[in-house]
Amino acid sequence: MLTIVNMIPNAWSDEQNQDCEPNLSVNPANSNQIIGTSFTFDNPAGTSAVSPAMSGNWAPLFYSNDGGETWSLQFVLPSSSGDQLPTWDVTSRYGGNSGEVYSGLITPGSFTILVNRAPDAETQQVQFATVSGDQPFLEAASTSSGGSTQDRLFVGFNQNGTNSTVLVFPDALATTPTFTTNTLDVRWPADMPPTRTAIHQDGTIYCAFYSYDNSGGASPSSKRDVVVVKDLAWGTSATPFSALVDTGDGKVGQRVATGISNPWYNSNFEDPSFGNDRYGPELAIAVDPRNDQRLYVVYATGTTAADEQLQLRRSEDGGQTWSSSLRTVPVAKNPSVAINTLGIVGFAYQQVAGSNWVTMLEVSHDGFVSSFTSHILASTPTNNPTPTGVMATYLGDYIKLESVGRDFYGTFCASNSPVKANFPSGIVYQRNVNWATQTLLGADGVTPVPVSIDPFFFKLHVDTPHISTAIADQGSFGHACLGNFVDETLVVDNRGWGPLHIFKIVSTSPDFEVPSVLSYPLKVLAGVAIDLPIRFRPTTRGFRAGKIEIFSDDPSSPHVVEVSGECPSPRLSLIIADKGSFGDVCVGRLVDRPLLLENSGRCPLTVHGIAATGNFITAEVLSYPLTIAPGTALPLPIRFQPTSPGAHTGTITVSSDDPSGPRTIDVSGRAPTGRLSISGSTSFGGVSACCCADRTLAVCNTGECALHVTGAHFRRRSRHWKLVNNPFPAVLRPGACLPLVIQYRATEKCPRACELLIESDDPQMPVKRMDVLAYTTWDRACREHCEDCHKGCCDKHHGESDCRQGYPCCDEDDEDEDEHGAV
Amino acid sequence: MHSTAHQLIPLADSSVFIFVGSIGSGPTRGEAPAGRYPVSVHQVIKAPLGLVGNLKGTVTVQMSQPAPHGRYVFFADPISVGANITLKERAHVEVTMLEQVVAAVTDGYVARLEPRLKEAFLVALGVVGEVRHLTKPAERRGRVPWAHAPFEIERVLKGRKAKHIALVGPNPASKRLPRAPALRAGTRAIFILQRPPQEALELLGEDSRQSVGFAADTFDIQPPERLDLIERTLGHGEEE
Repeated sequence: MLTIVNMIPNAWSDEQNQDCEPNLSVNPANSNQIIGTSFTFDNPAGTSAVSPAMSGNWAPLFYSNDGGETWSLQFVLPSSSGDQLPTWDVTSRYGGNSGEVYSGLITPGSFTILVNRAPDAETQQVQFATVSGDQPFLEAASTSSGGSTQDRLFVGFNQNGTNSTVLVFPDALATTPTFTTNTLDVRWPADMPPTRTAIHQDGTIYCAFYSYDNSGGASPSSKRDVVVVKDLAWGTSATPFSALVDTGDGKVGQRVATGISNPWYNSNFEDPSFGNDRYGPELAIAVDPRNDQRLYVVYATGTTAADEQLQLRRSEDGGQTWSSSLRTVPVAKNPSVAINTLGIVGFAYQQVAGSNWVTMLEVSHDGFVSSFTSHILASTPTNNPTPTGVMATYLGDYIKLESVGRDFYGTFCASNSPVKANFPSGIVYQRNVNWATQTLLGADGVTPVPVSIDPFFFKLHVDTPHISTAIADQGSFGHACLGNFVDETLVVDNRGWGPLHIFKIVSTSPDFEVPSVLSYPLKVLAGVAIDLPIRFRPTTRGFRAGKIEIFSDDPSSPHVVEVSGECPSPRLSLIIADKGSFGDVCVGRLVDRPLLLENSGRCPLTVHGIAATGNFITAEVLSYPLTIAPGTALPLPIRFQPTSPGAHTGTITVSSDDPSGPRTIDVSGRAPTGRLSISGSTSFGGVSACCCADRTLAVCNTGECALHVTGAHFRRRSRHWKLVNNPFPAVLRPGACLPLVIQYRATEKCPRACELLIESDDPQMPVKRMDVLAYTTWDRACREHCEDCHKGCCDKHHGESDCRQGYPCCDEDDEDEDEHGAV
Repeated sequence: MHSTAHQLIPLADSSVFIFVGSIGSGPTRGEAPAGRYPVSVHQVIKAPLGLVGNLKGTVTVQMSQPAPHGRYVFFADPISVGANITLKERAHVEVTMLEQVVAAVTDGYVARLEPRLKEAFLVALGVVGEVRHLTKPAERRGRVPWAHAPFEIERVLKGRKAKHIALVGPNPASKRLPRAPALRAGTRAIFILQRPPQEALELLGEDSRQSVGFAADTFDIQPPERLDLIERTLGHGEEE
């Protein structure tokens, strides 16, 4: 809510003076008490007929004890009867919690600054310090120590009209206050009039001033720098105001801007091209009460009224570095900046717009980074009243904006022409006025009074927003798999009384994503709720927790919402029958068994590779990875293809994104062999001489796999022994037999054993050795024909032979020899 | 209590307001204790310009000491002005002394006026014309911003009769010449003029220097209503 009040009291309705260059101070201990100053006489018609002149010895102070709704004049500022002005430059400040009222003014009788005080706004002030200089500008704050209160008073001024200087009163409440005089400019001893101070309650004091940038000092051709200095102990450091060293030249005082032109010297005092006012030494500074490193400065650039601009800039590091211009306001003067306890930045100024002076209050919830709200406080003529040149300035060289708590208070001067359209944000006049005829009326309520310049009070009440949020399941998003997301709605409700401005929404965890906002701040009106989508997109597995932080102008900002979610892991289980045993598989054969890759987790399983060792072979996968859905299984054939007989073992290794690592499973198999078994007798007993006898052996494979019988032969060649129709080499299938017939020719004189060798791939008995035994029975006939038999011509006696065992035969010699022919 | 006009002059000079008023319309009877009381104003003897009308009716007066109900001549200064005017009483005298009080006011004024008139080479009622600067803007910084203006004379009270003369003075008002009022176009008043300072004369042409006046003090510009009194003080319009 914005309130604008013309400060001229009703009983002062005859007033027609040029009450310009206002200032204001709110008692921080009681914001109903507000004081203001301007060039206000102790009589309402001082400029009407004769030269301005004081009637008495006390110039008035504007005072309100109802928060600015009504105003009175309190005649408490030292002046002198007959002075042509009530005071020259004047500012007043409440000391802080003490309620003491201080003023700094240039006494009209001489070029002297008086520093005065009184216990309240209604008591005539008493001088307690005096210096020579220009434009005293007071700032003050209270501190407590040892059970007592000290008023820290800072009087910025231009000492002897040349040097930016600050008087520091560590305890202005003392019976006899002491002070130090601190000259601020270490570069050149020539500065412009304004020396502005900003106080942070932790004792950090900033001062801004314009320094002429050469030894030539003040001259039309001079350039100027904007310099900020700092003290960290209420201006009482051992070397005061030297805490900020310029990053360029290494000297005390950071130069915020350099080489600015100096229209101050080139402009007319009341320049028709600048709303009939002068311009140039515009300067303001403010520090964030919540952050002593954050401060704003406003200054003016340009060479003429045509290109003059106010520049608003910010430092976030205690004045060391500065932003580019956050606001550039052309053809404007009287900047004032303040920051409230919510961090809201207020910026007031007066700008020439056509034939009007437009007094603006801009308020930004994001420090003028991206947005602000504008309030037109007044839009009044630049030439009504007609400038007289008496004051050197039309509206004055400053206005004032300050914050107390979250509210902004300020004052400005403007034409009091009673036209409602001049005050689009509303206006209250205490003085008599006929709005219908747009006429000011005197104290009698009848007599018209000429238009003049009046001080106006304004107050922007910042209603407090209050943020409240709601989210399902206490901020638990349930589970989301890696690469997937879950959205939840965060309801942001403003249950306060003022609009809520959200400057930033951040997540402390990358797993929780806040919505993208194209342009902050978000504005939520009182009683209104908005939905903010919050996304849980886990970046890693497991339980994830984070905080959503909402930065706003809620006094308790940031508002924190705790969120959590689960990103489950996939779980690979390997399943294979028979404990991984592939059973018996003959060499050269193969068997496939399915290996089940089961995902027993709640998120998809990604299989990157499968490897097998030994005689086990995995299925060929053309392209990894394989993805297995939660709760499903993928059968993967594993092949056992033994290359050698015997037992075989191997390991199947499956690599996946199961956080427990690769899974392995042992497999085994056996490659059996054929087994040579021979049945039948190799003992012939006695065979009648010259007869042959046969014995048949059954060469069998009693194994499980094929038996390769590579040969059957006698170890030594003998004419007495012979294999008849030797079938070998041959492959015997399991259970198969082949007969092997052994023939004995009974012609040897003496029995001699012979060894039959059967060779196979039976690993247990690659060579089967068998003795074949037979002897020749020399009976009568054989004896008779023995010689023949010996000679091998038994055939001629076959008919005569009596082969009781065997059958008649005849064959070659019976010389023994081995299979290779060796005897 | 002051018994003679002469004794009342310092009080009359220093008091911003002098008026005849009555205590007695308040809620209590008997003597008014020290404090703020409504006082009905019957006659204004001295008040700043523009405030005469405000004293009609009732004002609040912070009494310096208790006083019986009755009609008095009040000497007072302003304390505050809001919806009403509150004054701080310096003193009050019986209304029977009204004539002495009026005389003291006049005598005090004349006492201040006489030395100014004596020093003046020209006292005249007239109107200030268009004000023009004698220096460029850049030359005004750090020094008195001298300006000049024609002064159309309606009536000469002291000095050589003329229809017009030039005025020099600061414009705007200067901290370096704090008592000298700024030249303001359109001002119609009685000007008590002296020769300008050499600093100002040097900015004028040789021909102009002889007919230039300078109001050195705010008291040197008096409202037209003072014409008769000033004439009387000057001895019926002293002429050269």
